[in-house]
Amino acid sequence: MSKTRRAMTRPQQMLLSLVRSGIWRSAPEKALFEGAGEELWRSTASLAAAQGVGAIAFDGMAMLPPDIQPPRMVQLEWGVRTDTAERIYARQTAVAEELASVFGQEGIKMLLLKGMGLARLYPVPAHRESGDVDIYLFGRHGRGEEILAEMGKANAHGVNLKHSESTYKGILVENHRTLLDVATLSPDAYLNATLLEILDSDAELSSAPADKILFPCPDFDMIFLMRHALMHLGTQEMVLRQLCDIALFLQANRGAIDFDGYRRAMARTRLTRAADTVVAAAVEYLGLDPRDAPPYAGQDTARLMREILSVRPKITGSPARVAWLRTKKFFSKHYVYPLVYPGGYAGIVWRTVKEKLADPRKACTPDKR
Amino acid sequence: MRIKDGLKIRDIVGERVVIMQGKAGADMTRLISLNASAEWLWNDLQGREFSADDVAGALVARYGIDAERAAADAGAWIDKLVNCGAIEL
Repeated sequence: MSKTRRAMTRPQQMLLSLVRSGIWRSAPEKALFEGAGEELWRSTASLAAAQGVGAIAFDGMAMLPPDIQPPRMVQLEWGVRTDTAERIYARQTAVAEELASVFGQEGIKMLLLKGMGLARLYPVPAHRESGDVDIYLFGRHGRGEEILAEMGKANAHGVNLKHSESTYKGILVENHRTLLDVATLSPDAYLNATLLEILDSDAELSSAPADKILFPCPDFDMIFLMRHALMHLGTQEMVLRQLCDIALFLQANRGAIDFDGYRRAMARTRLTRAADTVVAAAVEYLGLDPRDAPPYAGQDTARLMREILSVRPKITGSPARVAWLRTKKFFSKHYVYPLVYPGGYAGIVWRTVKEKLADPRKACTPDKR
Repeated sequence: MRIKDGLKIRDIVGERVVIMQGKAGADMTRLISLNASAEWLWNDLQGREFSADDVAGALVARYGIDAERAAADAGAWIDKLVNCGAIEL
């Protein structure tokens, strides 16, 4: 057992083993689970839920011999949560299909980002949990919003420069104005333009019928998924599900990805070290075959995994508590910021502000197609 | 009557279980554990309309029991699933 593994808590080790089993359909390491009592199992199940991999870990748990599976009540509760995930997936799928059909009647093509496209790569697609349906309408964001309003969308949660959020039939829909957050972080402007070029050159997308859900090509997703994961690592939280997405995506697209183009994009935005760390973690912790991975240099994957698997308190409560938790979170990210903001966080903010002051239109121009 | 659409039998803790999700904040989730004959009836009748006589007839055909016992077993099976909300009348 490596030094890294020893530094992990037992629920973390158990969870990683279950997730590897869930995504690759391989038997979990039995020794890790021997003698595990109810409390340990509850901690593992709870960590799985927080990491967005509850249903995947449930699949892994079901592959354990019965004598080392969790107690009955833990399994039943876990089964109920897995059932809930399946129902949500079914509703999200139905909403996405309906939206593609309605937009198609208006001649608007709908690209589905993340979510269902990635779920197809999992052994049980409904077990890839997702909080929303992310759509991109190829520059027709505004018309898309009008159509959603005509369809009776409810609870518009807000519009930011990247996307609008609303609820339709109880499902959160994110209608992307731009693919990435071009208005906030300057590296995203370059990557957004690169992604648009890839979409433009995709003959399959150009000839696809408008009433079907469209999925991005592997070259797009290689950059998009990595940037998305790093964005979460920097500004919010990266969870194990995002690492699973990258591992399964790479495995499913062996030989079909332009790794040179991807590495150029990462280098141009100075994200190579961060991206390499994520890829290395997918190999080391999730068992991705290194032959499926883009070239990467060895990195401090243990630190990244501690960051991903750490338990974070919810930032709620009195204003003083919120301020305290935010400050604590900011300083706890001392490892992350240099990784995802290699020029320094303040530097990124400054360069971005400078660019926007020079050309304010950059801050709010939707992708034109 | 018919078995509600969207319900699925799962294998949990070596048991065959149907999960009836409650409405958020307003109801309790129910777990229906099925024995072999209850599961067989479920699979045989799912996706179509049926009557109590159909259930009893299915039990007679499958297990060769007498009509009186089949009617009693069918009634018990239906009552339990109606109470759990798994059967729509």
